[in-house]
Amino acid sequence: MFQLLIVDAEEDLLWALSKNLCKDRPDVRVKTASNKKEALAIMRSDRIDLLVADLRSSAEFDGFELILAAKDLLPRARVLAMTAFSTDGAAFTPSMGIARFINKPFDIQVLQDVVLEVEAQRESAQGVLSELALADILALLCLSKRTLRLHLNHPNRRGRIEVVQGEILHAEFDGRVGDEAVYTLMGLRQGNIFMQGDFVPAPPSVKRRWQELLNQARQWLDTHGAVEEEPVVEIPVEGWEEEPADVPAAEGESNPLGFSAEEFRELAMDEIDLMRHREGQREDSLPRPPMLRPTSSMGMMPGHGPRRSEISDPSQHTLEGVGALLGDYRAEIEGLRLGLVINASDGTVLASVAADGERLEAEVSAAYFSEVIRIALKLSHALGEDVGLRSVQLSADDYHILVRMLPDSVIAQMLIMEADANLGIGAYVMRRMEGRLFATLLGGEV
Amino acid sequence: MTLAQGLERFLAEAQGALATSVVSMRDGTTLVSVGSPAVEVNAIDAYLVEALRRQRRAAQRTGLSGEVQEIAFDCSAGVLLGRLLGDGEYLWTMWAAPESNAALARAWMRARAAEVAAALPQPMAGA
Repeated sequence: MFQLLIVDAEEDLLWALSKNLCKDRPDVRVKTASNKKEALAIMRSDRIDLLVADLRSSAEFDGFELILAAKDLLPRARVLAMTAFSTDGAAFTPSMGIARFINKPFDIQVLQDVVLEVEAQRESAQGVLSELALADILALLCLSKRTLRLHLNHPNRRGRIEVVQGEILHAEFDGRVGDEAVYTLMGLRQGNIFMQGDFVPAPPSVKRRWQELLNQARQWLDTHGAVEEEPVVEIPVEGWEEEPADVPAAEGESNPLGFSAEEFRELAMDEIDLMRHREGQREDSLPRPPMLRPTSSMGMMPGHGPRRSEISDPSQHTLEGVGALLGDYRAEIEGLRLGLVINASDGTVLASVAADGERLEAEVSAAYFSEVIRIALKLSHALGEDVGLRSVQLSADDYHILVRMLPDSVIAQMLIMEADANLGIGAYVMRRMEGRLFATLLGGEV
Repeated sequence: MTLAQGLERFLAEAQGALATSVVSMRDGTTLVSVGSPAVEVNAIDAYLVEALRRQRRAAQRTGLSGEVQEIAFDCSAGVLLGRLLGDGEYLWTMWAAPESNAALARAWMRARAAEVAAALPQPMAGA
């Protein structure tokens, strides 16, 4: 049985496709979903061979992020993106990458031809979602008119591509700028891609329109060769499905703070929206810089970005860099008791600094006060999909706590201060720290 | 002056304030709210109460002493302030427009806290 999943907010279209698509092929089963929840449930429970997703954003789901989620959930499936954005009336077919595209509105026969073509190739290991490439990511971003900066971390080099309202406007990599930088980046066979939604675009350096640019890449790479030839592509762009946080298997195991199993479960229940990378899916041994979430402002329509962020496995070097920054806390904030940089999604400490003789423990403070931050994140989420939390302040009789979130991430600066400390200075130092912290966590590229 | 009247007066005074309410710390339910109907007061109140509960627990576990009196969340949609009233049984919340001056809003809340607290439900004498 060949199973396809069609995800589209238009229920009339889904109904028509479920009734008529491949109706003469009993070996082809059509499943449909009109929202994120339904789609994820099917993707988790069923073997899907082909995902057909509308790229447009809606309140119910976001096709781009659905495809990213499918990369993890359906690594052996293929993907067909439906788009209404192409202006020339023809489906765009990149010369690199694995995604297929079809323009809406389409004749059902056209879709059926594509489906049956994919079905005929089902035994092939080529073109499956686990091979989703930079060319696919760029095409999906452009067709869905996104604004996003992609950071590309190669083992030895750094690069970035900026997509603004669906056009690739700027790229730089290894001393190259513009079109050539895009070509070079598309030839990478190793590295990670990180997405940043909020950024100030650089002056345009790319001259070609995105379709021509992507199609030229193949020719350029044939002439100049790829950066290296190792056939491994690691693109840990995260999906947006909600998944429960890990819970320790038993009390005392992986439980350095001494929480009871019940407390750990309670903490884990707060883990809405905050993605944690699945360690088991990582196959290489590259250093892991922080992975920032794909953003609140990545969509052309507001309010449909995921609310997740992630940091995973920052290298020791990165942690040391973050720790070095915290010297400013001690030097400039009179009345500081404890200064922390934490991952609010799991309450872990990236770095900390304490006043002399301070008895507060950094790990315990981070573990418990991150619960408050997670509630604040939940509240932000309740106010709107694209609402981001900037800061939290708690003022008690004997102390103040200031929290400042690193934009579009789950990383937070946290200060615990004496009751008579100057909150304005604390807030200022954290604000000033933000740029350097961001740069350190991203490997000095921002 | 009733509680609603006190909140109405505060709303008129505090620059940038869009809605204000009083919520029970016992169960997170809103007693009275005034202001823009577009503001999700019930959700805001419930989450603020939960945040304060977590904060209390965090303070106990970490050894920090002293009851939290004020809480503030600044998010892209607006500024949210909460202040415990009386013996901590009620939380007074305020939702202000984005980029509002949180310090000024807090100052207004402090200035009117006693007035709003006086309008809260009071136990009967001798009860």
